Amino acid sequence: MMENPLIRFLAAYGPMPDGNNMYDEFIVAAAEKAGLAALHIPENHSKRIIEDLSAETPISTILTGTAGDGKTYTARQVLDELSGGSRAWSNTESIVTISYKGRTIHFVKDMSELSDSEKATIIPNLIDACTAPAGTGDLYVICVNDGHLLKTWRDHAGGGPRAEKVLEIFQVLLKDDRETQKDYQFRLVNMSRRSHANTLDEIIDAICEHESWAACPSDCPGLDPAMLCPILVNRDEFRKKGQATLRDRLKSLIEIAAADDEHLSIRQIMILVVNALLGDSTSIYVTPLLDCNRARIRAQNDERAETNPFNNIFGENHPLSRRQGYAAFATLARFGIGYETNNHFDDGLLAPHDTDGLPDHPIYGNRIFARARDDYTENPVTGIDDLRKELVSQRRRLFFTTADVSISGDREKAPWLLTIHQHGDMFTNLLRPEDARDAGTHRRTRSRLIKGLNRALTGAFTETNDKFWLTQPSGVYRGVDVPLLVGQPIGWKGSPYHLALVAPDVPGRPPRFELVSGTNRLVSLAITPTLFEYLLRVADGALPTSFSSQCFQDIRNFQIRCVGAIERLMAEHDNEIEYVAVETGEEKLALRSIGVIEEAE
Amino acid sequence: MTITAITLRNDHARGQGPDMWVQEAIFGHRYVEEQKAFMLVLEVLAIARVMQVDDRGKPHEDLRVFQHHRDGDGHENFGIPLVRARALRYMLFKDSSLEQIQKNKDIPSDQRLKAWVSKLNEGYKASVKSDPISFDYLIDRFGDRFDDIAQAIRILRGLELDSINKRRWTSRFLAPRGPNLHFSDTDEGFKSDRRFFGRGGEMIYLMLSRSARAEDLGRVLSKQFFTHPDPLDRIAQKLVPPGPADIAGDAPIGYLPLSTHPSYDRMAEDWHAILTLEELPIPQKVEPLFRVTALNLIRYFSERSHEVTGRENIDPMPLDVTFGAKADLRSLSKSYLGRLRQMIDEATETYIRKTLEDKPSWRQALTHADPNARQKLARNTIKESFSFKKADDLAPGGDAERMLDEFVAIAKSRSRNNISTLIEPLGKAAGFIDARQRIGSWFSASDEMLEALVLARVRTPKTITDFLADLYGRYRIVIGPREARLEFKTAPCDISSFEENLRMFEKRLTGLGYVKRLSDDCAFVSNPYCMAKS
Repeated sequence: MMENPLIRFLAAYGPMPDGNNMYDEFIVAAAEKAGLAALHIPENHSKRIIEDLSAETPISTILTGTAGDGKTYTARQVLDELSGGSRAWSNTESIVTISYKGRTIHFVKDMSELSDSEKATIIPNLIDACTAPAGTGDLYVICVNDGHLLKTWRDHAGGGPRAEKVLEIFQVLLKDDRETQKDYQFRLVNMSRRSHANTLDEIIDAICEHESWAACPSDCPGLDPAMLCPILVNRDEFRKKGQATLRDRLKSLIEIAAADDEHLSIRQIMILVVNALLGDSTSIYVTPLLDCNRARIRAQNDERAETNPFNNIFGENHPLSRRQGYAAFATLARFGIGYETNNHFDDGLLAPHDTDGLPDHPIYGNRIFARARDDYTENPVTGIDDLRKELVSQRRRLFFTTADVSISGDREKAPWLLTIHQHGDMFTNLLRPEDARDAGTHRRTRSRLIKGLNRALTGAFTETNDKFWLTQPSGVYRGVDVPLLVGQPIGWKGSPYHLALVAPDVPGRPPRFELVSGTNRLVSLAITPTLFEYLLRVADGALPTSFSSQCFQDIRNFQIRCVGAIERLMAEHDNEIEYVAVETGEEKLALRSIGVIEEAE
Repeated sequence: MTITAITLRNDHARGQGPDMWVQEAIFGHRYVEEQKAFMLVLEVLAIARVMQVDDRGKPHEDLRVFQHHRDGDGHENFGIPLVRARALRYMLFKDSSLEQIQKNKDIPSDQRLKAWVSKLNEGYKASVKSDPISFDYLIDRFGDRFDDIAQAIRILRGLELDSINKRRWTSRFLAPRGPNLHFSDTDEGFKSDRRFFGRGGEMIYLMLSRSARAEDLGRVLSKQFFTHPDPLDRIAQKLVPPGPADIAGDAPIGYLPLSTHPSYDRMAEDWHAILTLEELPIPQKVEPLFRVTALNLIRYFSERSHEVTGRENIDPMPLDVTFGAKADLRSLSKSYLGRLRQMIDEATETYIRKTLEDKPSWRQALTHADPNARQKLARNTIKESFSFKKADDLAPGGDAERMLDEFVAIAKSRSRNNISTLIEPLGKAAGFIDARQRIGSWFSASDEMLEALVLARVRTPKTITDFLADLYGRYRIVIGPREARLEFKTAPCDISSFEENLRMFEKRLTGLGYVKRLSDDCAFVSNPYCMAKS
């Protein structure tokens, strides 16, 4: 049987029907069986944990987060490093204790695995470790899901004020995205609050540049360029780097989802990549993934549509019920890719000769689409169902492979129109730090956002986009009020306060609007992708309250807090705020002083 | 230390207005259906304003709001002047000549103000028959700056609350942002007919005044509503006539029976909590305040009813947050709303019967040999005990029992101060009662009501579990399965409905921006206007 053992091995990293809690061990076992090195999951926490444990006043580490982010893997790395490779961690041991630099360190692989009596011992000891005076006591490296941490704490901490206090601190740290608390000897690392978009390259390379790709048997017909093994074709697709590639767009999707608080764990991302690589929708209930044999058959019969990675990445090679069980597919499905479209794209697909020409793909473009299109042209009534299905996969391909259109270009051709985040490229630009982003796009995006804000808050179709016109929320219950400007229109610099559009300081968080005074951040508004889309659509003419009332609420809330902050700021400096009426009749907002209070006293 | 409540003597208002004195003795005199939830708060603020702010518009040095003296079982005895604000209200709500003059091209611009003032003088005289006032001061003050005044009027009109409902011009209100923007409800002759300010606000004022937090609350309220400089109040100030503020009259405050009650303290704490939210601007506080006031008032009615009927366990309020989607939950909630109404009616009946039982003249009315004497005794006892004006029409020819039964029925079906009919309109306006055709009404929660609860009860972030436990302990609100298990010995409906209710609760609060879920067991409610700086 001609096969590359790598393929079977990779399939172990794909979607598993039983959910699989013993993931780490399972992978290790699969790797051993295949005789290959386990895939190296990129992680960058172990270094700091080792530093923490080696410091003069060492502190414990609690690794938390949802399943699949590499907690156990990281703990193993640390153990390996500290014990000089001498201490292996077998699958049956839940707790491992070593001695290091005169201190005792306990490693717990997964707190949920411990028995109740074990927990009843460990947790009080952990409380001691966390609350001990600096530099004394045992140390811990514990892996636990955050939900389990909180729930189990109460049950096993044995009561007492220290236990309550530590629990409270956990809650605050988790909520505020912080890791340490003064005077407490631990670091709480939440591995799931960060986006793994940056490690996508490493994950894809770990899979696609694995040394065993060379192990394909040299006489396999799939290696012949005329035959085109689908696995190799898909691998090439993933190997492409640069703009308008599967890799690049996938990264953007992951970033956007993260900014909307949907974090894909490393495991989930691996599932996506492996599934896209090996997916086969010929027999979705039985064999969703290719093996070498089936790959050969597909190649021989030129059955390409079934191995289309642009479809597989959305889980099309699985039945709907199974698909919905995976966070990765569910998250990507929310983008609506394949179902959003416009005339430019659909016309281009249906009548390629008449139109400007969209990018084609040697395998997954016209080659698989032509038949459905021609059948439909001949007989629309019978051909429509198939066409619809094929259109979805073509739109998906186009999303991943069409070049971006600049903010001032013909946005009708922008690939992001094929998703619900029609300004997705502008959003991802906001995520980049100042030295890595396109400044022109950033400036123009900023102006559009201000226009959206101004429209939403004044209720007028204004064109004002250079400054934020913060109006008084009147607090009129069921009334129709006249907008009053609080102070002056707020620009991007100046005193005593100004507005800022700030990139996230941690990957996976959204960018923020901030009202800033000097170096003080007074108020901040998280610009999630949804809110971003809302503001841009309002800037383009949508009515503020009809599109999304939740987004409108967020903005209202921001307005209220800004006014409160300015009132307090001015009161602190004994200054009076000037209030001016806002004229909304013209294209741009105008100031009109309030006559009766303008007069000299 | 628990202070025992004493029922205060009613020396003042008795027998003057109401057709009988029954619900008044139990709950207070009085509450009217026309007084919407937001008007309750306005009435409290109007009273506070006349107490605390002097003629010239400056607050008194010493604290006067909620600081009223009482002796033994005597009731507070102070009068409440009315804020008439005649000139301002006429200009804002009655006059229609402003727009006409603005549009009239024939009037030269430097003559417009004069023209308008002349119309104002005429119009006012025609509308309000007594006490004509002159608007000439506007000319002295503003010369010919008609446009400035027109702008000011437009801005102030924009502050009208509930402007959709066009009430008479003396019953229209502005956002109470400063001393010049409070108005008392009056009839068109500027006398108090208590159509909208039906004393409900007086009741709440007394409750807050008798609460443990009276002084703190009084201070905070005065500072925020009467000393905090507000631009819109400044505008109004420029438009009112010179001289002392237009305040007159001196009607005595209404009657609230109990000297102290846990619901007074609860109400005061909630007021205090909302008013001390530093990051929420003052005008934004009125809405959550009136919602929480209505909720606390309903709890007071419920608790009083239970006390009077002698029931130990206060009924819960199962709150359906699924917008009626869960039929069994909705049904449960509806039945408890019905029970509340029944409980109030029962309290009314119990009060009547107990009061009579203790009267010797009633015992005589039941046992006297002479039937005529029995009838007369019965009638008189009822008339006297309850100041019932129509006692003589009761059950002609009937005996004492018949008269009693008929009187109870009349008391329960009163059109004024009938608390049980008040519950629904109050709850609907405040956002915790929902109603639908062919289904009826039930306890629910609008988004604004959920917000008000978060603003009042959440300071540092707390878990949803803790939040729900607090709502149950404080208001007997049942939303999730945990509280349902605590409250009901046998499950009134499938526990999964409460679980669904809980999920919806979290979903709605998340949509409103108050909840962040971190993982399976970890969702926090936080109050964005109270960010603890960490």
